[in-house]
Amino acid sequence: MSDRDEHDQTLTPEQEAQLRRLLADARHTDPMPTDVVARLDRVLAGLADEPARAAKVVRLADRRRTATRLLVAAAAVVILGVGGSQVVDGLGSAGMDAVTGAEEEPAADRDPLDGGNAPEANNGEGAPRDNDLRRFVAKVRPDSFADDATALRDRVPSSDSAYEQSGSPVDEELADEVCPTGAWGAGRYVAVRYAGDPGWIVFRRPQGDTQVADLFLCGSELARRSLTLPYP
Amino acid sequence: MSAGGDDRTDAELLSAHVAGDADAFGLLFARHRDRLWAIAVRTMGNPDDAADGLQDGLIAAYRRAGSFRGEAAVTTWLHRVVVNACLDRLRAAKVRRAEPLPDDLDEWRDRGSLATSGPVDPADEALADERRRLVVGALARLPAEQRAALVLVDMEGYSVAEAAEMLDCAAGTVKSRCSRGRVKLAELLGMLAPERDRGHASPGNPEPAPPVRSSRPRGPPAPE
Repeated sequence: MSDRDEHDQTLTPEQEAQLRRLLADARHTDPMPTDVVARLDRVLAGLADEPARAAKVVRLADRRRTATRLLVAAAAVVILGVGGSQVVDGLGSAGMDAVTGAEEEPAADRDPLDGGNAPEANNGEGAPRDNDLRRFVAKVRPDSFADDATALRDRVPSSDSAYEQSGSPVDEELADEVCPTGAWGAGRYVAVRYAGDPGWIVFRRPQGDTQVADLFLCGSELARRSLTLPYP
Repeated sequence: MSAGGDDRTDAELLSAHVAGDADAFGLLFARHRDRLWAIAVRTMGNPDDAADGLQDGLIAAYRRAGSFRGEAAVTTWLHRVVVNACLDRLRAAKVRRAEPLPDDLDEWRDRGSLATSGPVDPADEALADERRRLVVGALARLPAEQRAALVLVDMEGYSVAEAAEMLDCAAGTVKSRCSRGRVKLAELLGMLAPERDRGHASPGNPEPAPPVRSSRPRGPPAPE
Protein backbone atom coordinates (compact mmCIF):
# COMPACT_ATOMS: atom_id res chain seq x y z
CA MET A 1 0.00 0.00 0.00
CA SER A 2 1.56 3.31 -0.98
CA ASP A 3 1.21 6.62 0.69
CA ARG A 4 -0.49 7.91 -2.38
CA ASP A 5 -3.51 5.67 -2.34
CA GLU A 6 -6.57 7.73 -2.99
CA HIS A 7 -9.53 7.39 -0.72
CA ASP A 8 -12.83 8.67 -1.97
CA GLN A 9 -14.29 8.64 1.51
CA THR A 10 -13.59 11.20 4.16
CA LEU A 11 -14.44 11.23 7.81
CA THR A 12 -17.08 13.36 9.39
CA PRO A 13 -15.83 15.55 12.25
CA GLU A 14 -17.50 13.16 14.68
CA GLN A 15 -15.85 10.11 13.12
CA GLU A 16 -12.46 11.79 13.12
CA ALA A 17 -12.85 12.80 16.75
CA GLN A 18 -13.88 9.26 17.65
CA LEU A 19 -10.92 7.77 15.82
CA ARG A 20 -8.47 10.16 17.43
CA ARG A 21 -9.83 9.22 20.84
CA LEU A 22 -9.34 5.55 19.99
CA LEU A 23 -5.76 6.21 18.98
CA ALA A 24 -5.01 8.27 22.07
CA ASP A 25 -6.47 5.52 24.22
CA ALA A 26 -4.25 2.94 22.49
CA ARG A 27 -1.04 4.77 23.30
CA HIS A 28 1.69 2.51 24.62
CA THR A 29 2.19 3.37 28.26
CA ASP A 30 4.43 0.62 29.62
CA PRO A 31 8.05 1.57 30.38
CA MET A 32 10.88 0.15 28.33
CA PRO A 33 11.40 -3.49 29.35
CA THR A 34 14.46 -4.19 31.46
CA ASP A 35 15.96 -6.53 28.86
CA VAL A 36 15.78 -3.77 26.25
CA VAL A 37 17.33 -1.33 28.71
CA ALA A 38 20.16 -3.77 29.29
CA ARG A 39 20.62 -4.32 25.57
CA LEU A 40 20.86 -0.62 24.84
CA ASP A 41 23.25 -0.19 27.76
CA ARG A 42 25.53 -2.71 26.08
CA VAL A 43 25.24 -0.88 22.80
CA LEU A 44 26.16 2.39 24.46
CA ALA A 45 29.13 0.77 26.13
CA GLY A 46 30.23 -0.56 22.75
CA LEU A 47 29.90 2.85 21.15
CA ALA A 48 32.10 4.34 23.84
CA ASP A 49 34.76 1.72 23.02
CA GLU A 50 34.66 2.29 19.27
CA PRO A 51 37.66 4.64 18.93
CA ALA A 52 39.89 2.03 20.63
CA ARG A 53 38.83 -0.79 18.31
CA ALA A 54 39.07 1.21 15.13
CA ALA A 55 42.70 2.03 15.79
CA LYS A 56 43.84 -1.58 15.51
CA VAL A 57 46.33 -1.99 12.68
CA VAL A 58 46.54 -5.23 10.75
CA ARG A 59 49.79 -6.15 9.10
CA LEU A 60 49.61 -6.36 5.35
CA ALA A 61 50.87 -9.94 5.28
CA ASP A 62 48.22 -11.03 7.76
CA ARG A 63 45.48 -9.44 5.61
CA ARG A 64 46.59 -11.22 2.50
CA ARG A 65 46.79 -14.57 4.21
CA THR A 66 43.36 -14.01 5.71
CA ALA A 67 41.91 -13.00 2.36
CA THR A 68 43.33 -16.14 0.75
CA ARG A 69 41.86 -18.42 3.39
CA LEU A 70 38.45 -17.02 2.59
CA LEU A 71 38.47 -18.21 -1.01
CA VAL A 72 36.46 -21.34 -1.64
CA ALA A 73 36.27 -23.39 -4.82
CA ALA A 74 32.48 -23.32 -4.90
CA ALA A 75 32.06 -19.69 -3.83
CA ALA A 76 31.19 -16.92 -6.26
CA VAL A 77 32.81 -14.31 -4.02
CA VAL A 78 35.31 -11.91 -5.49
CA ILE A 79 38.01 -10.36 -3.35
CA LEU A 80 39.43 -6.93 -3.86
CA GLY A 81 42.93 -7.00 -2.46
CA VAL A 82 44.95 -4.22 -0.94
CA GLY A 83 45.68 -1.46 -3.40
CA GLY A 84 43.11 -2.87 -5.78
CA SER A 85 45.66 -5.08 -7.45
CA GLN A 86 43.91 -8.40 -7.00
CA VAL A 87 40.43 -8.91 -8.36
CA VAL A 88 39.15 -12.35 -9.08
CA ASP A 89 35.88 -13.29 -10.68
CA GLY A 90 33.77 -16.42 -10.69
CA LEU A 91 35.82 -18.62 -8.49
CA GLY A 92 35.77 -22.26 -9.27
CA SER A 93 38.61 -24.68 -8.71
CA ALA A 94 40.43 -23.12 -11.62
CA GLY A 95 39.73 -19.70 -10.25
CA MET A 96 41.07 -20.78 -6.92
CA ASP A 97 44.35 -21.75 -8.49
CA ALA A 98 44.51 -18.43 -10.28
CA VAL A 99 43.99 -16.55 -7.04
CA THR A 100 46.60 -18.42 -5.10
CA GLY A 101 49.01 -17.94 -7.98
CA ALA A 102 48.33 -14.27 -8.13
CA GLU A 103 48.57 -13.90 -4.40
CA GLU A 104 51.84 -15.81 -4.36
CA GLU A 105 50.89 -17.40 -1.14
CA PRO A 106 52.69 -20.46 0.05
CA ALA A 107 50.62 -23.63 -0.28
CA ALA A 108 50.55 -24.05 3.48
CA ASP A 109 48.50 -20.88 3.81
CA ARG A 110 45.79 -21.86 1.36
CA ASP A 111 42.25 -22.31 2.50
CA PRO A 112 42.06 -25.80 3.95
CA LEU A 113 38.81 -26.39 2.11
CA ASP A 114 40.58 -26.27 -1.24
CA GLY A 115 42.20 -29.57 -0.52
CA GLY A 116 45.54 -28.13 0.46
CA ASN A 117 47.44 -29.10 3.54
CA ALA A 118 47.33 -25.85 5.41
CA PRO A 119 48.48 -26.26 8.98
CA GLU A 120 45.36 -24.54 10.21
CA ALA A 121 43.24 -27.42 8.96
CA ASN A 122 44.83 -29.70 11.51
CA ASN A 123 44.14 -27.58 14.53
CA GLY A 124 40.67 -26.47 13.54
CA GLU A 125 41.59 -22.83 13.28
CA GLY A 126 41.67 -22.69 9.49
CA ALA A 127 38.09 -21.65 8.99
CA PRO A 128 37.82 -17.88 8.88
CA ARG A 129 35.87 -16.25 11.66
CA ASP A 130 33.80 -13.13 11.88
CA ASN A 131 36.79 -10.99 12.82
CA ASP A 132 38.31 -11.81 9.45
CA LEU A 133 35.38 -10.16 7.69
CA ARG A 134 36.75 -6.79 8.74
CA ARG A 135 39.91 -7.24 6.77
CA PHE A 136 38.70 -7.52 3.23
CA VAL A 137 36.21 -6.13 0.79
CA ALA A 138 34.14 -8.62 -1.20
CA LYS A 139 32.88 -7.88 -4.66
CA VAL A 140 29.29 -8.75 -5.33
CA ARG A 141 27.69 -8.56 -8.75
CA PRO A 142 24.33 -6.89 -9.42
CA ASP A 143 23.12 -9.70 -11.64
CA SER A 144 24.22 -12.38 -9.18
CA PHE A 145 23.54 -10.56 -5.96
CA ALA A 146 21.57 -13.37 -4.35
CA ASP A 147 24.18 -16.00 -5.19
CA ASP A 148 27.07 -13.80 -4.16
CA ALA A 149 25.45 -12.78 -0.89
CA THR A 150 24.61 -16.39 -0.07
CA ALA A 151 28.14 -17.55 -0.82
CA LEU A 152 29.59 -14.73 1.24
CA ARG A 153 27.40 -15.55 4.17
CA ASP A 154 28.03 -19.28 4.01
CA ARG A 155 31.76 -18.92 3.60
CA VAL A 156 32.32 -17.60 7.08
CA PRO A 157 30.72 -19.30 10.06
CA SER A 158 28.97 -16.86 12.32
CA SER A 159 28.19 -16.81 15.97
CA ASP A 160 24.78 -15.75 17.19
CA SER A 161 26.23 -12.66 18.79
CA ALA A 162 27.36 -11.40 15.40
CA TYR A 163 23.78 -10.39 14.67
CA GLU A 164 23.73 -8.03 17.62
CA GLN A 165 26.34 -5.75 16.07
CA SER A 166 25.06 -2.42 14.87
CA GLY A 167 28.03 -1.65 12.73
CA SER A 168 31.55 -2.71 12.06
CA PRO A 169 34.84 -1.01 12.61
CA VAL A 170 36.95 -0.49 9.52
CA ASP A 171 40.61 -1.39 9.51
CA GLU A 172 42.90 1.52 8.80
CA GLU A 173 44.19 -0.15 5.69
CA LEU A 174 40.72 -0.46 4.31
CA ALA A 175 39.84 3.15 5.01
CA ASP A 176 40.29 4.05 1.34
CA GLU A 177 38.23 1.08 0.19
CA VAL A 178 35.07 1.40 2.21
CA CYS A 179 33.26 3.91 4.36
CA PRO A 180 32.36 3.66 8.03
CA THR A 181 29.13 1.82 8.61
CA GLY A 182 25.96 3.84 8.95
CA ALA A 183 22.98 3.47 11.25
CA TRP A 184 21.77 0.45 9.40
CA GLY A 185 20.59 -1.68 12.24
CA ALA A 186 21.75 -4.81 13.93
CA GLY A 187 23.26 -7.59 11.91
CA ARG A 188 26.41 -9.11 10.56
CA TYR A 189 28.31 -6.55 8.51
CA VAL A 190 30.42 -7.39 5.46
CA ALA A 191 32.19 -4.74 3.40
CA VAL A 192 31.56 -5.07 -0.33
CA ARG A 193 31.98 -3.49 -3.72
CA TYR A 194 28.75 -3.44 -5.67
CA ALA A 195 29.13 -2.52 -9.33
CA GLY A 196 32.24 -0.66 -8.28
CA ASP A 197 30.56 1.24 -5.49
CA PRO A 198 31.66 0.67 -1.90
CA GLY A 199 29.13 -0.43 0.64
CA TRP A 200 28.12 -3.01 3.18
CA ILE A 201 25.89 -6.02 3.24
CA VAL A 202 24.08 -6.48 6.53
CA PHE A 203 22.92 -9.99 7.20
CA ARG A 204 20.01 -9.80 9.63
CA ARG A 205 19.34 -12.34 12.31
CA PRO A 206 17.80 -15.41 10.69
CA GLN A 207 14.12 -16.00 11.27
CA GLY A 208 13.24 -19.62 10.85
CA ASP A 209 14.42 -20.74 7.46
CA THR A 210 14.92 -17.30 5.96
CA GLN A 211 17.36 -14.47 6.42
CA VAL A 212 17.25 -10.91 5.13
CA ALA A 213 20.35 -9.42 3.54
CA ASP A 214 20.36 -5.64 3.04
CA LEU A 215 22.87 -3.86 0.85
CA PHE A 216 23.77 -0.29 1.83
CA LEU A 217 26.01 1.81 -0.35
CA CYS A 218 28.26 4.36 1.26
CA GLY A 219 26.53 7.63 1.91
CA SER A 220 23.03 6.22 1.80
CA GLU A 221 20.68 5.59 4.69
CA LEU A 222 18.33 3.44 2.64
CA ALA A 223 19.01 -0.08 1.51
CA ARG A 224 20.05 -0.27 -2.13
CA ARG A 225 18.94 -3.88 -2.33
CA SER A 226 17.25 -6.20 0.08
CA LEU A 227 16.80 -9.91 -0.34
CA THR A 228 15.36 -12.74 1.63
CA LEU A 229 17.76 -15.64 1.47
CA PRO A 230 17.00 -19.20 2.43
CA TYR A 231 18.65 -20.01 5.72
CA PRO A 232 19.91 -23.56 6.07
CA MET B 1 21.58 3.95 31.34
CA SER B 2 20.00 5.20 34.56
CA ALA B 3 18.14 8.47 34.70
CA GLY B 4 20.16 9.47 37.74
CA GLY B 5 19.79 12.83 39.43
CA ASP B 6 21.69 14.88 36.90
CA ASP B 7 20.47 18.47 36.82
CA ARG B 8 21.91 19.35 33.46
CA THR B 9 19.52 20.28 30.68
CA ASP B 10 19.16 18.13 27.60
CA ALA B 11 21.21 20.59 25.59
CA GLU B 12 23.94 20.58 28.23
CA LEU B 13 24.06 16.80 28.27
CA LEU B 14 24.30 16.64 24.50
CA SER B 15 27.08 19.22 24.49
CA ALA B 16 28.87 17.28 27.20
CA HIS B 17 28.60 14.13 25.12
CA VAL B 18 30.09 15.89 22.10
CA ALA B 19 32.85 17.21 24.35
CA GLY B 20 33.70 13.68 25.42
CA ASP B 21 31.68 13.05 28.58
CA ALA B 22 31.31 9.26 28.52
CA ASP B 23 28.09 9.20 30.59
CA ALA B 24 26.24 12.19 29.21
CA PHE B 25 24.55 10.54 26.26
CA GLY B 26 23.34 7.64 28.34
CA LEU B 27 21.80 10.04 30.85
CA LEU B 28 20.11 11.98 28.07
CA PHE B 29 18.70 8.84 26.49
CA ALA B 30 17.51 7.48 29.83
CA ARG B 31 15.44 10.59 30.40
CA HIS B 32 13.45 10.04 27.23
CA ARG B 33 13.70 6.33 26.71
CA ASP B 34 10.16 5.43 27.82
CA ARG B 35 8.53 7.85 25.44
CA LEU B 36 10.87 6.88 22.63
CA TRP B 37 10.07 3.26 23.40
CA ALA B 38 6.34 3.96 23.15
CA ILE B 39 6.81 5.60 19.76
CA ALA B 40 9.02 2.80 18.52
CA VAL B 41 6.58 0.10 19.64
CA ARG B 42 3.61 1.67 17.91
CA THR B 43 5.55 2.60 14.80
CA MET B 44 7.20 -0.79 14.35
CA GLY B 45 4.16 -2.76 15.49
CA ASN B 46 5.90 -5.15 17.85
CA PRO B 47 8.46 -4.99 20.71
CA ASP B 48 11.20 -6.95 18.94
CA ASP B 49 11.31 -4.69 15.91
CA ALA B 50 10.89 -1.68 18.17
CA ALA B 51 14.02 -2.66 20.08
CA ASP B 52 15.94 -2.98 16.81
CA GLY B 53 14.65 0.34 15.51
CA LEU B 54 15.36 2.09 18.78
CA GLN B 55 18.86 0.68 18.80
CA ASP B 56 19.43 2.01 15.31
CA GLY B 57 18.21 5.40 16.44
CA LEU B 58 20.37 5.34 19.55
CA ILE B 59 23.47 4.65 17.51
CA ALA B 60 22.61 7.27 14.91
CA ALA B 61 21.96 9.91 17.55
CA TYR B 62 25.15 9.01 19.41
CA ARG B 63 27.24 9.42 16.28
CA ARG B 64 25.46 12.46 14.86
CA ALA B 65 25.31 14.45 18.08
CA GLY B 66 28.03 16.71 16.83
CA SER B 67 25.85 17.83 13.94
CA PHE B 68 23.05 19.09 16.18
CA ARG B 69 22.92 22.86 15.77
CA GLY B 70 20.23 23.74 18.30
CA GLU B 71 17.66 24.69 15.68
CA ALA B 72 15.12 22.52 17.48
CA ALA B 73 14.73 21.15 20.98
CA VAL B 74 17.02 18.25 21.78
CA THR B 75 14.01 16.03 22.40
CA THR B 76 12.61 16.90 18.98
CA TRP B 77 15.94 16.06 17.39
CA LEU B 78 16.18 12.81 19.34
CA HIS B 79 12.65 11.83 18.37
CA ARG B 80 13.42 12.60 14.75
CA VAL B 81 16.47 10.37 14.72
CA VAL B 82 14.62 7.49 16.36
CA VAL B 83 11.47 7.79 14.23
CA ASN B 84 13.51 7.95 11.04
CA ALA B 85 15.58 4.97 12.12
CA CYS B 86 12.35 3.04 12.61
CA LEU B 87 11.02 4.16 9.23
CA ASP B 88 14.30 3.25 7.52
CA ARG B 89 14.07 -0.19 9.00
CA LEU B 90 10.47 -0.56 7.87
CA ARG B 91 11.32 0.57 4.34
CA ALA B 92 14.30 -1.75 4.14
CA ALA B 93 12.31 -4.75 5.25
CA LYS B 94 11.32 -6.55 2.08
CA VAL B 95 9.83 -9.46 3.91
CA ARG B 96 6.40 -8.16 4.74
CA ARG B 97 4.52 -10.39 7.07
CA ALA B 98 1.11 -9.97 5.55
CA GLU B 99 -0.85 -10.80 8.66
CA PRO B 100 -4.49 -11.44 7.95
CA LEU B 101 -7.03 -9.43 9.82
CA PRO B 102 -7.87 -11.13 13.08
CA ASP B 103 -11.24 -12.79 13.05
CA ASP B 104 -12.53 -10.53 15.76
CA LEU B 105 -11.81 -7.46 13.67
CA ASP B 106 -14.32 -8.74 11.13
CA GLU B 107 -16.67 -9.37 14.02
CA TRP B 108 -16.31 -5.80 15.17
CA ARG B 109 -16.99 -4.59 11.68
CA ASP B 110 -20.31 -6.42 11.67
CA ARG B 111 -21.22 -4.95 15.01
CA GLY B 112 -20.98 -1.41 13.80
CA SER B 113 -19.55 1.55 15.63
CA LEU B 114 -17.03 1.12 18.39
CA ALA B 115 -17.81 2.45 21.81
CA THR B 116 -15.43 5.12 22.97
CA SER B 117 -16.67 5.99 26.41
CA GLY B 118 -14.33 5.18 29.27
CA PRO B 119 -14.75 1.94 31.20
CA VAL B 120 -16.84 2.11 34.33
CA ASP B 121 -16.40 -1.45 35.54
CA PRO B 122 -14.11 -4.44 35.01
CA ALA B 123 -16.16 -5.70 32.10
CA ASP B 124 -15.75 -2.36 30.40
CA GLU B 125 -12.04 -2.46 31.16
CA ALA B 126 -11.76 -5.76 29.35
CA LEU B 127 -13.69 -4.28 26.47
CA ALA B 128 -11.34 -1.30 26.41
CA ASP B 129 -8.32 -3.60 26.33
CA GLU B 130 -9.79 -5.50 23.43
CA ARG B 131 -10.55 -2.26 21.64
CA ARG B 132 -6.98 -1.07 22.09
CA ARG B 133 -5.68 -4.35 20.73
CA LEU B 134 -7.81 -3.99 17.64
CA VAL B 135 -6.77 -0.40 17.09
CA VAL B 136 -3.11 -1.34 17.41
CA GLY B 137 -3.61 -4.23 15.02
CA ALA B 138 -5.26 -2.00 12.47
CA LEU B 139 -2.57 0.66 12.92
CA ALA B 140 0.09 -1.89 12.07
CA ARG B 141 -1.52 -2.37 8.66
CA LEU B 142 -1.08 1.23 7.58
CA PRO B 143 1.82 2.40 5.41
CA ALA B 144 4.80 3.26 7.58
CA GLU B 145 4.66 7.00 6.94
CA GLN B 146 0.96 7.27 7.79
CA ARG B 147 1.46 5.13 10.85
CA ALA B 148 4.33 7.26 12.12
CA ALA B 149 2.32 10.45 11.61
CA LEU B 150 -0.65 9.10 13.55
CA VAL B 151 1.57 7.76 16.33
CA LEU B 152 3.16 11.17 16.83
CA VAL B 153 0.06 13.32 16.42
CA ASP B 154 -2.88 11.28 17.64
CA MET B 155 -1.18 8.93 20.08
CA GLU B 156 1.66 10.95 21.53
CA GLY B 157 -0.07 14.30 21.22
CA TYR B 158 2.58 16.22 19.32
CA SER B 159 1.43 19.14 17.25
CA VAL B 160 1.50 18.88 13.49
CA ALA B 161 4.44 21.30 13.47
CA GLU B 162 6.40 19.22 15.98
CA ALA B 163 5.60 16.02 14.13
CA ALA B 164 6.75 17.65 10.88
CA GLU B 165 10.12 18.43 12.48
CA MET B 166 10.45 14.90 13.74
CA LEU B 167 9.50 13.40 10.39
CA ASP B 168 11.61 15.91 8.52
CA CYS B 169 8.79 16.86 6.18
CA ALA B 170 6.35 19.70 5.63
CA ALA B 171 3.43 20.26 7.99
CA GLY B 172 1.06 19.78 5.05
CA THR B 173 2.56 16.36 4.43
CA VAL B 174 1.94 15.39 8.04
CA LYS B 175 -1.66 16.56 7.79
CA SER B 176 -2.16 14.59 4.59
CA ARG B 177 -0.66 11.44 6.06
CA CYS B 178 -2.79 11.78 9.17
CA SER B 179 -5.91 12.32 7.12
CA ARG B 180 -5.31 9.34 4.84
CA GLY B 181 -4.25 7.18 7.73
CA ARG B 182 -7.39 8.00 9.72
CA VAL B 183 -9.63 7.12 6.78
CA LYS B 184 -7.89 3.82 6.26
CA LEU B 185 -7.95 3.09 9.96
CA ALA B 186 -11.66 3.86 10.09
CA GLU B 187 -12.25 1.44 7.23
CA LEU B 188 -10.31 -1.30 8.96
CA LEU B 189 -12.20 -0.74 12.18
CA GLY B 190 -15.56 -0.83 10.45
CA MET B 191 -16.41 2.76 11.16
CA LEU B 192 -17.31 3.49 7.57
CA ALA B 193 -20.05 2.02 5.36
CA PRO B 194 -18.51 -0.30 2.76
CA GLU B 195 -18.00 1.34 -0.62
CA ARG B 196 -20.18 -0.06 -3.42
CA ASP B 197 -18.37 -1.34 -6.45
CA ARG B 198 -18.98 0.73 -9.51
CA GLY B 199 -21.63 -0.70 -11.85
CA HIS B 200 -23.32 -2.73 -9.13
CA ALA B 201 -26.88 -1.93 -8.28
CA SER B 202 -27.72 -0.77 -4.83
CA PRO B 203 -29.11 -3.46 -2.58
CA GLY B 204 -32.86 -3.63 -1.98
CA ASN B 205 -35.78 -3.00 -4.30
CA PRO B 206 -35.18 -0.65 -7.15
CA GLU B 207 -36.87 2.72 -7.07
CA PRO B 208 -40.25 2.59 -8.87
CA ALA B 209 -40.15 4.08 -12.32
CA PRO B 210 -41.80 7.47 -12.65
CA PRO B 211 -45.22 7.46 -14.37
CA VAL B 212 -45.10 7.82 -18.13
CA ARG B 213 -46.76 11.00 -19.30
CA SER B 214 -48.54 10.87 -22.68
CA SER B 215 -47.83 13.62 -25.10
CA ARG B 216 -51.56 13.72 -25.93
CA PRO B 217 -54.02 14.12 -23.14
CA ARG B 218 -56.54 11.30 -23.16
CA GLY B 219 -60.21 11.81 -22.67
CA PRO B 220 -62.62 9.51 -20.84
CA PRO B 221 -63.11 6.03 -22.37
CA ALA B 222 -65.77 5.84 -25.06
CA PRO B 223 -69.01 4.20 -23.91
CA GLU B 224 -69.36 0.62 -25.04
